[in-house]
Amino acid sequence: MAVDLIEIRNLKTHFYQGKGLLSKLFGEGLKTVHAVDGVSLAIKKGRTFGLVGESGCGKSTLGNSIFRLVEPIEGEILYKGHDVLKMDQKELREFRQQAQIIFQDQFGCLNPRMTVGQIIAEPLLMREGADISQEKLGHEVVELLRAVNLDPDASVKFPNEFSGGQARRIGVARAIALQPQFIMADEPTSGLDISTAATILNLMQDLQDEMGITYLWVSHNLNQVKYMSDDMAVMYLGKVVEKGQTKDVFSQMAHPYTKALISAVPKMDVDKRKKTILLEGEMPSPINPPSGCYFRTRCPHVYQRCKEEEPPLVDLGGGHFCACHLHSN
Amino acid sequence: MPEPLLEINNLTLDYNLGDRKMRALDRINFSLGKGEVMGVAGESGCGKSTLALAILRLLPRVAEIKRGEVMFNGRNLLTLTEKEMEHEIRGQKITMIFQNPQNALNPVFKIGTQMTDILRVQDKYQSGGARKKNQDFKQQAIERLKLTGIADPEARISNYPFEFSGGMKQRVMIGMALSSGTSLLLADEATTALDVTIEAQINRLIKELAAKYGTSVLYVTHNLGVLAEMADRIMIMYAGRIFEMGKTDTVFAAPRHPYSAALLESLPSRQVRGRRLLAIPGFVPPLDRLPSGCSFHPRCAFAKDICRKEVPPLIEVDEGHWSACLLDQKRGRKKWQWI
Repeated sequence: MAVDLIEIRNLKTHFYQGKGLLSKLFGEGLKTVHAVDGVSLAIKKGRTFGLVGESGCGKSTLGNSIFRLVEPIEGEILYKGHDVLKMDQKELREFRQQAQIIFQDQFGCLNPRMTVGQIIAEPLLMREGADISQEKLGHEVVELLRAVNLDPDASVKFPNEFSGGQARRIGVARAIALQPQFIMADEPTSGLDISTAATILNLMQDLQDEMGITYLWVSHNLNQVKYMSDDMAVMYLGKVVEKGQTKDVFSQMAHPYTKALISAVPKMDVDKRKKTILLEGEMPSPINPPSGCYFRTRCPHVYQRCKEEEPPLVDLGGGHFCACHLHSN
Repeated sequence: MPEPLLEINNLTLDYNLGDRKMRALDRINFSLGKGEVMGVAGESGCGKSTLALAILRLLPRVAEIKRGEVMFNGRNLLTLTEKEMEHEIRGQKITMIFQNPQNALNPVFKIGTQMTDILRVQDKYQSGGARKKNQDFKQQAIERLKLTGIADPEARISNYPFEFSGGMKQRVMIGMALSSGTSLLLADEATTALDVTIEAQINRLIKELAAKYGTSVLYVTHNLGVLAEMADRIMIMYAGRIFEMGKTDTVFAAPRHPYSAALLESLPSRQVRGRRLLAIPGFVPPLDRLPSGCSFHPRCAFAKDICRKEVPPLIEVDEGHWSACLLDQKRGRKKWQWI
């Protein structure tokens, strides 16, 4: 059994929306957006944890909370036993060297006025200070470019000279520059063509095999999460509705939302094509979540109890959890 | 084979950018039957969007149609005057929905106003003068919204686009695009920006409405899974050419072109956890510097000498199944296992 690298306990991240200055001053008319609302999960060392859900379900906010790019209001994030939320600036800086992010917007995260070499060297300079020799720095940059299958000549070019897939590789090279233990990949193949996406997935797997990196794989692409991840969680409106080993979640999906989500993925093979469960309507606003079970407004199996009680996450066996009254007895 | 509605013959199109000539469409030949859904797939830059825009003649000025015909209901759209296109074809007989409905709706006008504007224009050219009241158009707009499954259309019609979610905006676009008068719908990555559950809803809606009105659909996307569920037939494009075309299930089950086979092998949905995905070596060539012979040969694992020399024609290799690979046509090789 692998040990937990990151354990999240009852994490809540809320945002506040107000109409103007007065409401900000006095707290009146302030609306609370329950972006992440009591999430607990454990990411195992050396493995890939897939986090899926539709836009607005809070999966990116959860990821950003781990790095404290947004400040959670409650809960614990234990990295190797230390609570990230209690770290001071110095500790946080060390944590952020070991944990990196690959961003969704492959060009947006690269400074257009820096060369690729400067971009990749930046984290190294941050760690080493000004002591590092130019020669050593250049050597490391070339090594990193090689690691992500880019030509060493790339280091003198600017980001706009690269295609989407290559820009994503530059982002990967920067993320692995400090030999991190943990990488959050936020929709790492969005906007890429099929065969380009495949090269990125292969690369990320190779890096995991070589460096033992732990991934948090945030994506709405279920096929990819099924292919890439060992464990996974399905989020809906700020909560985890189902989690467990990926193979269990796909073979014995328990929550009606997971079932609908998986059935909605278009199938290539005729014999695997089952009836798509079409959900009515769209996700409710996280400002005013429904009472009881958050999914009840779209659930085909809704009954009285769903309105009144919030379903707890129940262990269905083998670390497979589901939050639904159909399974809570 | 149903009666053809759209027949594209030998369509060839260049983009002239300064001294660079990019051949974006090269001898495109296919026909689309009445009520048929045809999928167009391929990687970015293969010409699939250009094809859709060429049918409506909505191309930028640098585009030049070198030869070919776009026969729609027996008329060549390329020879119509701009006025005829505007009055009879665009938004009337042929409509289009785009990837980003946000950009297709004007943010400062209400949904209802934008819908009635369209209806008024359609009515003006179709009925030829019999004047309807504003109230009638409004009623018609409400009915269209209802048709696309938007709850409480009477109230929603006075909303602005920002009050609608992405899925609902795409429903509005479909409501404006599909009506009894439309015979061809061009959908260009219509659900790419949406979540899977919403994508499933929208695709179901397009299918239902198309069946209801007998509309043909040309469905352009890079998502092969969506096409598996949506399209009767599919064509795979590469660097401005059609590489393979046939019944969707046949092409996916037994592709006759190595490029189609490669695309299918690079999908994570078809691969078990832990096994490497196929990454096609090299890159899509720039359209002004296409390789000799078959434009795919530098990336093809099976390429032989002949592929560098001859340009493969698109040939019917099996009943209703077309492919443009010389090795298939001349050497009888039919299976392509990349890894």
